[in-house]
Amino acid sequence: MPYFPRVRGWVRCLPRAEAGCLARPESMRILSPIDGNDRVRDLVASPAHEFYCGLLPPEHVARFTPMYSLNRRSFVSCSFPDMETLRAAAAQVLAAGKKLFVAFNAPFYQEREYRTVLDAARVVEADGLSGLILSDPGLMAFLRASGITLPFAAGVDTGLLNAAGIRFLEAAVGLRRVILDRCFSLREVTDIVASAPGLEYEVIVSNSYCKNVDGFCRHVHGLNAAGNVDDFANRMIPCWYPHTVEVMEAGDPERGESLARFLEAASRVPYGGCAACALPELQAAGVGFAKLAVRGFPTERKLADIRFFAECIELAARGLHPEEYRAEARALHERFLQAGCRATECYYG
Amino acid sequence: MAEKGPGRAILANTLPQLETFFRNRADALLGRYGEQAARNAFKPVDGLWFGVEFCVHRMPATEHIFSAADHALRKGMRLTLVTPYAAGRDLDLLWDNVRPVLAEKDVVQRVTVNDWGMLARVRQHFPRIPVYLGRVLNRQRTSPQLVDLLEKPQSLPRDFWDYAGTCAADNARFAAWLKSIGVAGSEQDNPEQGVRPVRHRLARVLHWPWVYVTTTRRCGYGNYTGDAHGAAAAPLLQPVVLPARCGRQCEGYLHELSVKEFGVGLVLNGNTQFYFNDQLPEDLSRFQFVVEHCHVPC
Repeated sequence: MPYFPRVRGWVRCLPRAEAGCLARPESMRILSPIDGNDRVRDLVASPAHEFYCGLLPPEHVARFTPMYSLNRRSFVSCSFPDMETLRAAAAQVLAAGKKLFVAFNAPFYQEREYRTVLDAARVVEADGLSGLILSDPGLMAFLRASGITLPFAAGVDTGLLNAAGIRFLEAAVGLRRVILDRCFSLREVTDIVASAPGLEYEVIVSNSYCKNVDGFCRHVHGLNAAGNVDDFANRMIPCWYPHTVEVMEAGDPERGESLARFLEAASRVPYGGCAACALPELQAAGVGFAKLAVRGFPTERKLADIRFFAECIELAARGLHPEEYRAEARALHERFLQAGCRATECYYG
Repeated sequence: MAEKGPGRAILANTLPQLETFFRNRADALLGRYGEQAARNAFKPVDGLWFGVEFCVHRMPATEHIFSAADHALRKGMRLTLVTPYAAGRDLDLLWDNVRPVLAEKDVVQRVTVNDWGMLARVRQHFPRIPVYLGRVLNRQRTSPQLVDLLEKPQSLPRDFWDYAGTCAADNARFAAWLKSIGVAGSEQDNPEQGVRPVRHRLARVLHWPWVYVTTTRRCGYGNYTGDAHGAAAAPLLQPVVLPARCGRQCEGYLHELSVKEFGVGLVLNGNTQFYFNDQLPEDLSRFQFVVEHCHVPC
C-alpha cells in the first residue's frame, strides 16, 4: 500500500514507460534549447530530436527582475516573452514531428506564481506539447491536483540524488523523466538508472559545468560582475570566479596552507562542460537523452553543439574501443566547435 | 508560543562540540558570535540538533548519536537527528548508520531530512517520528551577491526583495503538500536581506549564524593530492565517492574564500560554503526554535 497520498486522478491518465508507450531509444536523443530570438526553422531542421524552452513575460520581469525567473535561466534572452511567440515556435517543432518541453524549473516559487505556471501549463497541454520540466515538487503536486496530465521531467534542481528519492517523487506526483545532476560518477549514473527503472533518464552533455550540487546551490546567475541584472554576455557565474583562499583554522598549519593553495588553484579552472567522451557509457547505462545546456547562446552555437553530439552519438554506436572512440570524439570537437577539447571540461573525467 | 518566543536549540555534529558548548557556553559563543550571542547565552537550551546537513561522510557514528541523545536527556531535552543529502549508494550507508537510532523508542524527538530519499525512508519505516524539512530542501535565496546589492537596495524592485526574503515553505501550497506527505516543520536560513513575516501551518526553525550558500560533491579536501606546494596545474575536482577518497581529511580545517565581487566573505567547511550573519530578525515569534551553530556546520 503506498504510504504517500497520490494526487487524485492523474494515475489513470498517465501510461508508465514500461508499458511500451515510451520505448527506450536505441541511441541517445539530443535535446536542444530554443530561445525567444533563435532561428527556430534552422533548429527544427537540425539533427536534434527534442527541444525545450522557457517562458518569461515582461510584466513578471518588470516586477521581480529576471533573477526571480519562471525557469532556471535568469536572463530574458533565454526565454520566450509570451505564449504567442512560444506557441508559434512550438507549432514548427510539432509540425516536424519533434517534441517540445516547456521548462518551469525554478527551484521554488511564491504561491502567486504557481497560478501563473498553471495558466501556462493549461495552454501547453491544450496545444499538445510534449511535457513540462519542473523542479519544485510542490508545483508538481499542485499542477496534478489542478488536472494537468502532461508528462513531467524532474529537473536537476529537484535534488533527486538517489533511487529512493526518484521512486518517492515518481509515486507522489508521477514522473516520466529524470534529468540527472552533474555531480555523479559514471558508475553512480549506471546504478541509479538500474535502481529506479521504468523512467526516462536525461543528462546534460554540453556547457554549464556545475562545480556544486546544482539543485542545492543558492548562488545567483543573473548578475554581471558589476551587480547589474540581465547581462547574459557578461554574466557572472559565481562559483567560477577565482577565489582567494586563506586559512581560518588548521589542525596542521602547513597542511592548511597547502590546502589553501590547492583550493585556489581549483577555483581557477576555466568554465566549460562536455560529456562527449562518456556517451558510450551513458548510453549503455540506459540514459536515453542528451541535453545541451546552451540556452542564451546564439543559434549558431546551438547548431554546432547539435551537429557535434549527433556525430558523437553515431560514432558511439559503432562499438569502437574506448580509446579509439575518445580520440575520434576529440577530433569531432575540434571540427565542429573550432576548439580542441580540454581535460578540465570533462563532466565525467 | 507567540508570547514566549522561540525555543533555543543548538546544532552540533561532534560530541566534543557538545561538551564544549555546555561547559563554556558564554565564552565559546562570545569569541565567535559577539554581543547577540552573549545576550542569549544564559537562556536555557530547549533542544539539541545533532548530526550533519551537507556531508554524508561526516555523519556521526551510531554510537555517537546515542551518546548525544543521552547527553540531551541529562539536560532535559530530546534529540533532533539531523541527516544530510546522500547521493547514490551513500543513502544506504547513511540509513545503516541512523536506522538503529530511529528504531529505539523515545531516543529521537524528530528527524531533519535534507534528502528526498531519506524523507521517504523515514516516513515509510518510522511514520511516528516527526520529520522536518532541512535547509537543503527548503530553498532560499542566500547568494552573497545579494549582500552586496543590499548596499543599494533601490537598484532592485521591492517585489524582488520581498521574494528574496522568502523560502520555499513560505508558499502555502508547498507547505500544504509537505504536510500531506508527513512533514511537520521546515528549517531555514537567516540571510542578510532578512526573512518575511509569513505565517504557515508548519513549525518553523531558524538557523543562526552560518548562512548556507552552496555545497558540492566535488570536495576540495577530498580531491587534495597532498602536494606540499599546492597543485602544479589547476585540478578538475571529481565527485568524492566512497570508499575511495574520503577519510574526513577536512576535519580540523576551515578556509575563508574571498571573491571581490561578493558582498561578504565565505567560509568553507568540508564541502559546503557559508557566510556569517549574526543579526537575528526582530520578530522571532513565528519560529518554534532558533538553532544556534556550535561550530560552522557541515
